[in-house]
Amino acid sequence: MRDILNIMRFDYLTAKPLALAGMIFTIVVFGILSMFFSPIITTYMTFASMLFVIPLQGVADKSGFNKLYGILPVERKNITRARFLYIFLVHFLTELLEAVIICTAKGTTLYKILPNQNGETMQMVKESFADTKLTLLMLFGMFTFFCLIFSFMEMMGQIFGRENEFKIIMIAIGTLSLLAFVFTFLSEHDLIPVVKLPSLPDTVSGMVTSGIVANIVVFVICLLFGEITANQLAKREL
Amino acid sequence: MKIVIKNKSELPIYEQIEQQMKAQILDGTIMEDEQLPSIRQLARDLKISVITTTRVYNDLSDEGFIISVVGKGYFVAPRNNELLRERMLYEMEEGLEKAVTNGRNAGLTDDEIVTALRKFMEG
Amino acid sequence: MENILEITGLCKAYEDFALKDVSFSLPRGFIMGFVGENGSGKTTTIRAILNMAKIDSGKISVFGLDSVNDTIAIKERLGVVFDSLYLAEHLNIKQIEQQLKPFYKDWNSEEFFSRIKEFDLPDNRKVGDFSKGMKMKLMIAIALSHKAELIILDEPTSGLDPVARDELLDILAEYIEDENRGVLFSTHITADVERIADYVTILHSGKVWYTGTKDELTEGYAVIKGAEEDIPSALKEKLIGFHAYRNGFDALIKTDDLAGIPDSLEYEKASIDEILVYIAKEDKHERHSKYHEV
Repeated sequence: MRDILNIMRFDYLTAKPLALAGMIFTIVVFGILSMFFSPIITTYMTFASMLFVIPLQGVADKSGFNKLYGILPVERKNITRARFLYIFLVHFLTELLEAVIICTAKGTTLYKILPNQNGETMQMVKESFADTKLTLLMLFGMFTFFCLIFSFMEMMGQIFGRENEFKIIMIAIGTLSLLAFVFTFLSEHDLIPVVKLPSLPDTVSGMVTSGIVANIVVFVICLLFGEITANQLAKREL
Repeated sequence: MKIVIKNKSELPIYEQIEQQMKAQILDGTIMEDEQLPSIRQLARDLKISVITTTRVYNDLSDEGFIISVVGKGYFVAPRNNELLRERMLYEMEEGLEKAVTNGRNAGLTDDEIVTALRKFMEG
Repeated sequence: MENILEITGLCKAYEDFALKDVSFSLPRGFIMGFVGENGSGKTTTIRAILNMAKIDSGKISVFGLDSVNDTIAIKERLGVVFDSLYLAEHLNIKQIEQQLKPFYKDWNSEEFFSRIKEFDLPDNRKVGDFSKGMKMKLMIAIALSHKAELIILDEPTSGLDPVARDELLDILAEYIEDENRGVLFSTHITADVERIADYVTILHSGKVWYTGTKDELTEGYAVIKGAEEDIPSALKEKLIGFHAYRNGFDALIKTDDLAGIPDSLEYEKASIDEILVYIAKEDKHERHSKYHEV
């Protein structure tokens, strides 16, 4: 476990100088925007998580990290596992930060100092501040989507090679779209019975509960992806 | 102690060091009872292999130039050391023999060689 | 004498290259030069020691520990210098130190920064902008800062200027003053190890051609020259890397085989470099003689 934490710290310190400025900029810009206009804007910060993930592989390739992995007193599987936990942690912390900013925005109600409080735009702002459910849906949705995408890409990239990663993503998206299209087509023409998705709980506490479930599920999937990748890589030479 | 190693010399490094150390012990540049650097220090200073310096010290102690004191290191053997004295006599005879041979080869008579030697000794 | 590194019967096959039954050992307290032409298998052997390459058969033990099962424990006490830097190029030395520190139980930051100072390395510049010599010294500083007992260098001097190469020898000479340590120094620039190495292992086409003390190697072989017709027939097959040209021949010979050679043949002691050249020629010679027999 100490190894995994050390490698996560190592990855963080590698990405930090490349990502920190962008992250702070994002927090400031999206934070101010959400304070005044809509707390939901905060959730777009999830994009910025990738600043801490994307540079890692490039640096590793350019700087010959496979040699470093060969000499560090760390089990190789733990190096791989740590990367997936790191991706989870980056997204999770961003999610927490977003939650804090959302709460602050709602609490401070800074939008009240804006001019023209009765204007049409102001009505939309007020509405978005009043709404919590959609904001929470976006918060958990963005987290789940990006964290899964990045850990999936990490797995594919590590197993099949970075150069094939884009291809794999395209194929995955293509297959999913095709399936969705066929499914929709068939059900719209009554060729198969329409499957009714369970509707999301319609209360704030219900949203929070499903959000926590989503976090746990994503965490487990990250662990799983990490384990699969670690086992695949362990068969190879550094 | 001053040792110069010539990489391009035909003599192996250990022999170069042995010759130079012997010469300096004999002419008193390295005083008797003086402590010598350890085998590993010498190897480090000269940037040569430890096996080479080990060989040097072994040879020099076998020939009586230096003595090894367990736990303390290597020292220049005292002058009255029998072994060293013998060794010095041997070196002298060797030198004389060479001088005589060279003199005879140059066509000098034995008397002339003795005269030359006496002159040399008077300085 | 305890061996700090011991390789027995190491075999490792790739599609186009194989290590065949590689065995050698390095006693604690000494420096071994690990030489051979490019592609002779030096790097593969080192990768096997580090458990980066998976061995097909054989056994490697470092500090008496097994290279596969105890690889973590070994790496705690092992320093490695590669021909290129293995650290994030956009970081400076302070950031690198932060990264590496927690991995080693015995990491000593004070020691690290005093080495950095001693080696004249700037601690606020990106390590990717360092010269080759500076990168090499950084890797050494890392090895020295976690009390590595064995330092393995894989072609550290290729592409280094003579000044930096000399500095490296200085550092290694200082390092080995402690008799509990060991150094395995892989290189094809034999001048680097000619003086400082206690032991030499020569690898040729994936096999060990020689392993033992350097003195026995350099005293054991001579370069012989002369007219081809003066070679006694019994001697001819003992010549290694025989090469005839218009005015005579040259070849490598074991000094044991020198007894009774005619005065018309001259010989002088062989350098490690010359030995390597004749080993390589010996391969070509086999092809030539077959050609002649036709």
